[in-house]
Amino acid sequence: MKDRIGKTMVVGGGISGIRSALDLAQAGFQVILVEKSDHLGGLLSQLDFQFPTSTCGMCRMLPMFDRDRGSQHCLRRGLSHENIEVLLSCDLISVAGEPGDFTIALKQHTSPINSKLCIGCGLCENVCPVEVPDPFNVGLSTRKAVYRPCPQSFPNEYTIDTSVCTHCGECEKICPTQAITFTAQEKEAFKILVVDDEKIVRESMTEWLLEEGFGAVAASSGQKALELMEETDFHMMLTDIKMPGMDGVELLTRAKDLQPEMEVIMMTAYAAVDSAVEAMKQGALDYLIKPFEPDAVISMADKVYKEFETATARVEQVDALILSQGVDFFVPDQGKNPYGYGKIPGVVTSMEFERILSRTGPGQGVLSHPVTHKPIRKIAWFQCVGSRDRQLNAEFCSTACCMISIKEAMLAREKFADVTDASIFYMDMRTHGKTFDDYKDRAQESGQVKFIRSRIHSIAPLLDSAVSPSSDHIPDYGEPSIRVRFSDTSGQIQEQNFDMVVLATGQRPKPSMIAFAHKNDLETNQWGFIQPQPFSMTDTSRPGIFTGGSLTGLKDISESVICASAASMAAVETMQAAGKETFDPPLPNRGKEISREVPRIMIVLCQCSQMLSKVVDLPLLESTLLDMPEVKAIEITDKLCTENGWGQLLEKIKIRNPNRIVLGACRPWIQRKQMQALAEAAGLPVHLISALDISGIIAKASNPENHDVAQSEDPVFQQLKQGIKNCISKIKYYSPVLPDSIESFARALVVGGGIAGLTAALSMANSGFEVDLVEKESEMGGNLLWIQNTIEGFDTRQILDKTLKEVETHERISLHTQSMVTGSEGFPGQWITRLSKEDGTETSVRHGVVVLATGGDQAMPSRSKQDQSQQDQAKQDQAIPDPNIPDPVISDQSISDQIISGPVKQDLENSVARPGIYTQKAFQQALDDQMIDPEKPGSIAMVQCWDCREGDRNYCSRVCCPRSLQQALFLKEKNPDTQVYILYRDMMTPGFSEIYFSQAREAGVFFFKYDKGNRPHISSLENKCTLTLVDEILKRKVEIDVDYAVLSTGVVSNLSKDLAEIFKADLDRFGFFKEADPKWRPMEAIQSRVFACGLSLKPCSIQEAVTSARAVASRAVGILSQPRVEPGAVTARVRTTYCSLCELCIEACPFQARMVDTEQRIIRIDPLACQGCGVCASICPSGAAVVEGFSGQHMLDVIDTALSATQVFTQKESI
Amino acid sequence: MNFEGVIKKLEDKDKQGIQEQLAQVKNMVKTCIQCGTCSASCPNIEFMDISPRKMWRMLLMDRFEELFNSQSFYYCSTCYYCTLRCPRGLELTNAMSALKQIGSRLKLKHFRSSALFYEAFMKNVRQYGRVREMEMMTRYMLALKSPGQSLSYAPLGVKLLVKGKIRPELPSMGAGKLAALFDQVLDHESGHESNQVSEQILVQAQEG
Repeated sequence: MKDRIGKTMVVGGGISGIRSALDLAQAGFQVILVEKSDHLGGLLSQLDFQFPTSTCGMCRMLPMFDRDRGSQHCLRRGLSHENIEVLLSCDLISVAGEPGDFTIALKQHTSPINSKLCIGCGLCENVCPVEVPDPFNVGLSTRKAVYRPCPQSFPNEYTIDTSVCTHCGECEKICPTQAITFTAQEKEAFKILVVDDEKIVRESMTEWLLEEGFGAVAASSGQKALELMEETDFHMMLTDIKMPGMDGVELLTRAKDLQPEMEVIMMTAYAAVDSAVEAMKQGALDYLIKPFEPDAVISMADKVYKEFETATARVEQVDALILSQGVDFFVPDQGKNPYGYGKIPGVVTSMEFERILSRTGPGQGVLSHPVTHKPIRKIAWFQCVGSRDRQLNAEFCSTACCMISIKEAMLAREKFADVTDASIFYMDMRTHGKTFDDYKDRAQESGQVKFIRSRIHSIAPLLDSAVSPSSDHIPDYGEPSIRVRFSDTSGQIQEQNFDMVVLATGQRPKPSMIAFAHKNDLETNQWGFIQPQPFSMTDTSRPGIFTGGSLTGLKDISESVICASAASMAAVETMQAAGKETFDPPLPNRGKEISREVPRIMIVLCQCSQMLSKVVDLPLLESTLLDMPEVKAIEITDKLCTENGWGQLLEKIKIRNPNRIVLGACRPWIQRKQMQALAEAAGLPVHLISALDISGIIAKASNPENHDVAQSEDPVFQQLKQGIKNCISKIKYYSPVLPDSIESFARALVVGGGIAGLTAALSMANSGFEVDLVEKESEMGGNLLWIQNTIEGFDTRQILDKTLKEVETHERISLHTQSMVTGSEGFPGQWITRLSKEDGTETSVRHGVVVLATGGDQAMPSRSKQDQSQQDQAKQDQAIPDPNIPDPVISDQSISDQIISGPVKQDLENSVARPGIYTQKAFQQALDDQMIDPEKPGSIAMVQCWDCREGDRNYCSRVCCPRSLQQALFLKEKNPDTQVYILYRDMMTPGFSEIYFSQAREAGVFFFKYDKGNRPHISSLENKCTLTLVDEILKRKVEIDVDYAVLSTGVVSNLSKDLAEIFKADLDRFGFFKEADPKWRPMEAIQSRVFACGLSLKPCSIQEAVTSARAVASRAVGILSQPRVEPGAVTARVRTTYCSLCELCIEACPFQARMVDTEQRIIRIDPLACQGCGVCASICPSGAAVVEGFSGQHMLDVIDTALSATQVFTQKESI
Repeated sequence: MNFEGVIKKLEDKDKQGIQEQLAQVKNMVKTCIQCGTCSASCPNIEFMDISPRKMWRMLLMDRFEELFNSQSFYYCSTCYYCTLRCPRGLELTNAMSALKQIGSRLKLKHFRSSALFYEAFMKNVRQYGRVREMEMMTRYMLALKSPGQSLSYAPLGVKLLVKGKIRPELPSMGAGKLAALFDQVLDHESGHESNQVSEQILVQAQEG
């Protein structure tokens, strides 16, 4: 049975890996989540604030429904879900096999700390003598060898960095729960073979190693070594490369055949390093360059030994593999221009700056100079450090750094009053997301952040002291220490002084990933990033292996999670194709029906090896608590963490038959998993078990000084007693009525038959669900019907034809062409939607989710103000011009009537398109229809951002810059004499499309940059267009005469407000679909059964549209796979007799879970949408809105009990 | 200066050569993104009337008249900072040299003294394999044909003489071994590919 269940491995536990794992788990598949480091959350666990809200928000990724199957806590603490197995400190080694049958080799590192016993008291950390730079704070602070992986880690579980631990054993001695055991293998058992033809070398090396305690043996030749290997198993071999007879490389290959687990280190003279590097490709671990000191050999042996000691090989069989290990960042001091990084204090990378800002960072949220500790007042950001740099072979944009820097600058200004100057030095500001321009404008127009278009070449420390931190001359308060010299756009040389410089370092592929890709046949691009297949952001060159997140290039949060979901969709399709199944929809443990029973509470206290009795008078406690009428029994058990202890507890529960349990135990035993197990054993819903963390008391008891069995006034006694009382009050009045499971139609509705809609429908159908696809036109394909190829040279016909064919022949997809959605009845999850055909016929479809993929189109050029003034007054009211935006057209005469925006009618005489002003789409169509002869020399000017990135359409449309470059390159290729001008504001070629920007320049395309306020003026007269603008660098007026002026008017969404309203979705201020959260839930509405993808969601390329469609399908499949959904135990309810239908709660509900049932005149709740937040209960004036498990009487009792303890708490503080 | 006018006056061979050279320099800076790194890097920018950032822009926009009315590129001291720091990896210092060459071939009035100085310098090196300051300056002053300017340097010359920084030497024919190399370079420079030439010179110089 078990191997029939589909299983996917997700490698990388950053947000992308978490998203993929959660999607797959919700769809009912088994997931193994592998993370190399010691905590989940990846890069984002180090970043505390995200724009635009300056909060974290990672928890918004948690499931919105079927919540009780996983824990609902901060994801920085970890992830717990029934279907997900998390492997921390685990390396991916190799993958073999094919889709549906992959064998994956892993290396699991184990910590000497037993996580089931560690109570997180921190005593070990205090005694540890080893102090090393803390990688979590990017080396800005130090930590011990025993440490907590991240500040939020839960249950405060400690871990040991074995690579730096000296095995002194101090922590082992002090640990109160004996959680630490160094089961160090004897070094002697670690066998090392030394192979060298020079006697003196091999003998002295053997001697050094023996002295260190290793079991070392020497061999004089390759042949001898192989003979020795036949007899003994070696763990490590040190071999010379140049030897007579068999050389080291040959020995390596033959030795690896004999003993594949053995690690091999090559020894070579400096001149032959190349062959050592070659040997590493054959499987050698590392190399040593002769001559070397004993230390070099010993530390190498130590390294391998520690790895051997802590790592165990592990093999997993899975059906699909998702890689989401992310990217590395460029290290500035490796470049030609290090900007003083590492030399001048105050020069930090953006990652370091994030840690400095963080409250868990080295300065605990105080922004101060790393050396002088004076407040920071002036900060500069340098963009494109290690990106867009041909000299570093980094001709790509790192996509996310612009927004990261703006966010950091805003944070610095908002959160730190000392900061008076935040300046960003940039080349192009790449604000290519839907809300990015608004955010940037806010930063700029509020005067918070200065934007300076200039690349900084170098910086200089102002004082000698700044170079050597130890010097006495520390700058006084407010004396900036770094001088920045730059040339402004007018050519003037400026000098400014700053306290701190933040380098926005660019992306680099992880070296380990390049090696993995190389060894496992994954295609990479020229810089070493994984190369996705055409029109995909997730498919690698190997079927069944997918990428999520930033592995294919740095991405912001929303793109990262979209890719992650798309990857999990691909994995689902792979598993389905391999005939794998999902877990049956689980039946929740509803427990016994106890709402009519009197509370019978059983208190269970774990003694932890008799320690509790050393500080607490247990019999006294017992008698005190038994006085309470609801307490039926107290059981003092011991060692719950052993099988025996656990078994005894279950036995006792059986005898006592309680209907509520209070469990007092240490931290690892009050986790969700244990509580769930206990609940199942006791036959109770998990909410009827209340847990008390007594780790603190146990830690105290471990110190003999505190052994003083106490009387009733003793603070420890009081603390324990009060804690138990609080727990009792939490469950005493709690008698939940679990809401019934709800039917959800396992059928999807997709509106829109463009590539996004088609892909979403196909993916859902491939996952086994029925789909209705609605398209208003007679032909499907949307924008791909006119776009023929992409800038990368991919043929769009191919993907469209393939997808269309599959959709048309798919048995589970019903097509409804020339149809519109005209209305919907029913409730979320049980929609019955009316589709009307053009001829008036109507059908209705039942569906549980809806995907809005209505697409978008080019924006029509807006009419100039002069035109507007001729319009009637009513229309003008709708478009009140923003006073901040300058007059959009400087024209004396209106040009809007002259713009050709549609396909050109064939001119019968000439069959050529006449010169004039075109929109980008019209120009492309004219080119494609061969109405314009590209081989005839001519001149073309393309104006980017026409009417967009300002006013009502203040967003970047993403597709126009690449399209313009594509057209320009095409024209230049057909005829190099054709003059092409591109007039742009910021060239939006993020990621690897940057290269086309360079190619266009190389091809001779001429670029002019203009500012928002100085839009080029176009006039068109008799077969000639004249563009007038001011050149940014020369500050001169330039006139360009061209045959064709092409306007990039941008993209608008086709999603109508009416359609969105039918499904209670919203539009944003630009007319696109409004996401529940632009970062963490970027494709769904507040009502989490309504999705959007493609152009109706946001401006995007074909590749991005396909990816968002697959991502939407992934989220939808998670819902569809459960025909009956269990609402969470904590859900709102309406007591209809008290309800006056004032509807206050409907507005207040942040999840749109409440609606008025006009027929029955009641408030209805969608128990799936309800997250149990309680806003309704607090706003309801008549007490009709209640949250299950949080009744008034219950809450008042909890408060009373807690307040009765104030006395105790004051005492506690005085201890 | 009327650039077109100046070009017209030149001999056909020169005209073509200059136009080819201009196209070459343009090509060298074609992928410039006007980030301004070169300008801010330049140690001599305060003496320049137009910044390198503007200079490349003018070059790309064929504003030769303005470009050759300025003397900016003659202030390039070939420190190679701009080349080192250019994010586009452009050989800006070489582009500066190319502009100097074009400037001297144009025989414009305002480049006269600079061109004569370069000429005197190179002749000196060609003859002796090193610079004999005294002789070089004397020949330069003579070529300038401006007694007033020459005299203004006299006090400095005397000072240097007294301190022994320069010494009077009789002009000699010199060894003249470099003549062949110089001729070859000249030959190449009237042709194309100035970069390759400089490498060849280097190789030859090392071999020589």
